[in-house]
Amino acid sequence: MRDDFIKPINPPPGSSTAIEEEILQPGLNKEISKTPRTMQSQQPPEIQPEIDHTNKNFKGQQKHEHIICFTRKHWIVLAPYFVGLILISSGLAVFFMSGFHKSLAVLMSPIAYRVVALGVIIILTYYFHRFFVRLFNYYLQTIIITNFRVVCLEMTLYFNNVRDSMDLHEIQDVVIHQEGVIKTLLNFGEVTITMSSSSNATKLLRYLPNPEYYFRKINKCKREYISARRQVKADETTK
Amino acid sequence: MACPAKFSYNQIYFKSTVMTTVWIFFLILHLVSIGFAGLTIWRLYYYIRRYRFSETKYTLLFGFVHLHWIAISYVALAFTWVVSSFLIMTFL
Repeated sequence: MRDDFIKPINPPPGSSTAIEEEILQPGLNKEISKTPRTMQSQQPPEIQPEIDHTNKNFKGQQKHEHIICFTRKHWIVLAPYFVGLILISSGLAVFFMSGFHKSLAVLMSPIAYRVVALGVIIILTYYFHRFFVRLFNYYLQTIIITNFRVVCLEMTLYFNNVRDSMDLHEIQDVVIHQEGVIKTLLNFGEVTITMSSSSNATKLLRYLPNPEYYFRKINKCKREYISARRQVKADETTK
Repeated sequence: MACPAKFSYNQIYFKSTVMTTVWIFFLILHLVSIGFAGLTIWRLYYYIRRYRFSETKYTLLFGFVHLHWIAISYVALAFTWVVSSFLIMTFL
């Protein structure tokens, strides 16, 4: 596949303003989309640095592949961990503040008491590390939209490194699901991407924050990618 | 002459052995804990320095929590937990 003919779409890829401007001012990019495609193509293209091993944003990034935007899952996926942490912290606070540990010390011999305390400390240490590793994994698991494809990085710090990419020109359909009170109030949902391959494979992007934005962004990138491919093919045939 | 002490020699030996074992386990636990925290931070920073993202308030946790803050709190809490668990084991 040729990968050097696609031009970056507006606003500049990878920049935070691309996301902020469109979310804060939803009508801002409408002007761009309303302008004829020929006018858009007359705009001077942004000069993007070539991607090499020094400025890659993710493993497997191609030479002329630039990030349009990226996201992580909605914070609701971390809610069970935070609830567990709050419950354990409050349980420990109640245990020590109520003086229950003193009555427990009377009931048990000092040795047995320290053995039990060591067991509890081992469990809490494990939980403490597990909580933070999950937080770090949350930051590493990203969904990236580039000018070529949609990449899902299911990366963890230990033992897991799954990358799933969907080429934009192979995307047949994008469906957004945002049903229920909680999803609507907290503004997250699912985006299902159906591929045009023979297997009709689908990819479900779960717990996506602001799914409407990414739904529009994927469709927009797909349109621009396909039109650029057609343009290149047309140029090649005329030559 | 028989020992008039409250505990027999065997009981004292048993107690000291158990307590020594408990403290050895405690020491190993926290060595592993600190080592694991160090390894985790090393792996995390190795990855995020190699593959960088320009973060925005839309990509951060709750819109403002930076990954560096969590990493710093992780290291700080790992050491705090060693001290506090030592105090629990000593003064309970």
